[in-house]
Amino acid sequence: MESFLTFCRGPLLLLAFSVFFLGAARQVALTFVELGRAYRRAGDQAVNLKFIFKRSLGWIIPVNGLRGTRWVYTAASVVFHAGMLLVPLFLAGHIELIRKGVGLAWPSLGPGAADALTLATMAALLALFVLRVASRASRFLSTFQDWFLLALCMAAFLTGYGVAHPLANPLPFTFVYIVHLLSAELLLVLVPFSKLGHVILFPLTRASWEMGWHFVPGAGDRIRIALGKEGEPV
Amino acid sequence: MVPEQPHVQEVTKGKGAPQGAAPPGKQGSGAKLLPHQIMGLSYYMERLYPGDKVRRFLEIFAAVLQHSNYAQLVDTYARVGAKCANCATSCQIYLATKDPKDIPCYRTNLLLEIYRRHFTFRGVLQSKLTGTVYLTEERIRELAESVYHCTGCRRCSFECPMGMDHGLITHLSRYILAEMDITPKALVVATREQLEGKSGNTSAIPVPALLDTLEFLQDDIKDEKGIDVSFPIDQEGREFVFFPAVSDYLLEAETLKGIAVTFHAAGETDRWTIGTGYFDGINYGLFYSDWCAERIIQKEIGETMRLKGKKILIGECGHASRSAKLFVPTFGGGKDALPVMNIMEVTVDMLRRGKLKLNPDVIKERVTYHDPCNIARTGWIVDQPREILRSFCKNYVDMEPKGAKNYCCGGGGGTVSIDEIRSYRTKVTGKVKADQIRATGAHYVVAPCANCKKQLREVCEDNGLADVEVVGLHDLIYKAIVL
Ligand code: SF4
Ligand code: SF4
Repeated sequence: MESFLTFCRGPLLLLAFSVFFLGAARQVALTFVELGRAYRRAGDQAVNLKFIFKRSLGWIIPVNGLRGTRWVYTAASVVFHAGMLLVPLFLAGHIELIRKGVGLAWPSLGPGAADALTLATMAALLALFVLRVASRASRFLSTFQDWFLLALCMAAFLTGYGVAHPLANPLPFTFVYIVHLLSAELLLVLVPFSKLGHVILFPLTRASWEMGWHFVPGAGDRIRIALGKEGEPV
Repeated sequence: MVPEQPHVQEVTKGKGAPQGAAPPGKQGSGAKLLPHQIMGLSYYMERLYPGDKVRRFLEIFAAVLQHSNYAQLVDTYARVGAKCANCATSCQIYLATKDPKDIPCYRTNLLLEIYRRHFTFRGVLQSKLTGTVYLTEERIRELAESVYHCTGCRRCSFECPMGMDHGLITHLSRYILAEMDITPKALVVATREQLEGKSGNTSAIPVPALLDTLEFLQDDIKDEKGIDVSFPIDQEGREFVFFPAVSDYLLEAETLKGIAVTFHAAGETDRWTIGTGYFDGINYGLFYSDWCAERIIQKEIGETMRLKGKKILIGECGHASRSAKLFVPTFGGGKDALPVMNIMEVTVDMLRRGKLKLNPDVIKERVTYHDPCNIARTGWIVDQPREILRSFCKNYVDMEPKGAKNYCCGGGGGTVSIDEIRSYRTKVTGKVKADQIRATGAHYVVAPCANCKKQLREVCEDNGLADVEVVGLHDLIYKAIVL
């Protein structure tokens, strides 16, 4: 058990980070290459940067969402995303681990704030789950990964809390710790390969959208030639 | 799968309710299939690609991805979809049906899933390992039905945290389908006449008939207003060459008279002209085919150049305005392309310069304004018409929501031309709009768009709003203008 824990904390964690970073880099690079190609081929190269920024920022600062009909969902989603970003990055334990590993360190959240944020994130996760179940629309849309990723996040946070509060935790500490590491590592690995990809691609989805409307002159003809439909009438 | 007859031409036209398509397999072997029953779709089609449809679909998809800019878009979208259902309640179709298959994300996912399963490493591997082919004729049929239920209004794009533009995916899906001849007959026939027919426009109006119409309109103005107002024809070097939805020449006399009188009253008749070489603003390419869109836009550009005009001026038509605004730069030389303006931009400018006098005592009834999606969604034309209307309509009220977040009339994306689905358009996609109109209590609904006008008239007719009059903006100006 202990040696498996060491394995999870050492090589496996390193592997997870590598997959995450390499996968992320690959996606960013590919997306930029594709965007560049789209830009060069576009008949109209005036790109509406304001639109891209406005529409992206609108979701990072979701004023409208909080005023809309799904404000509970938006609120839960904001809390969840904030927790998802802040807790892994600013928890004292995590920073310590990174300092030992690569020698980098930065200020951490105080234990009180970390606990509050963790609990809030879990509450938000629960709310997201309930809302997904309760709404016919999202129940219908949801696939396996939508449920699985929710569960995985919950597992990571719940066990994280258990690791931080060993006294309140009824299960064997090592076991909880291992589950925490495994679920967190799986999340990292899945980022480039699932809808979690938005972690990396979020700032670029609007750029893709904008470039999607930048059509390529002559493409229509080339497509018809490729399909052997040259000269065919409408 | 219905055994199809690829080139059936006869159409027994059913007005009103959609003809219930015969369920697959229920067709007597000797019975002649109506064109719309090909694939069991709710709209008429002329023909269908006779070979292996699944293979053809994938060939076309591949060619489109290779030669256009959609690949990067589809790839990004296929990765990030959150399935959060935020978009559901923003779509007038889902609001009316509450059918989960009408959720925008579901529709978009029909195409994205084909992409994932046939064009990504993982998808191809999965097929190889399981020995299955994801795409089937049934899936093509579902897509073909679904993307002509969506009006491409893009209202849902505001609600997606992932930046999904379902209108764009609908457009792409329709384009792929169009290359295998799955397109409502109404759209194809009009576009064919425009690109390859003798008249060169979607309503098949020959030039002599156009000239007759214009003369008739001039006489009308003379009778009604007592003045001589001319429609300038083939004048060179004018600021604007004018392209309305060509159907306006047949159906919207008041709008055209209003526009001519506006130029006249401002003393600026020498700013515009109508060209007899080409005079149609309609571009159904925006709805289903980039190939057609490009060829149609070249006709607009060509006519403007022929007349040495400086700008392309589009009449009261949403999709004509947007397609010109979007495609003239795209297919006409980027930043060097001819500028495109909508008629309301010109009129509001005249008003601001004090060139127009509108009598505030003429329009006493309550007036409301419907924002055509194609000009309002980006915020391009939202305030201009309101500024004009408020200046002379005392009893003006807005709908809620309005402007960029308006609801579609329910006939966008070319669906208004599909008569077979009228009851779908008026009872389902147009239901929210009918409720909005009813709530305003307005007598006049101003809808400066040829598509919206036709659709809204039918919506009002079918939803017990017989007292409502659907008009163009310049129709009211025509009534109130002081000459
Ligand atoms: S584009 Fe309009 S009609 Fe189509 S799914 Fe979105 S809101 Fe609905
Ligand atoms: S809002 Fe976007 S991510 Fe959410 S369900 Fe709709 S399309 Fe999918």
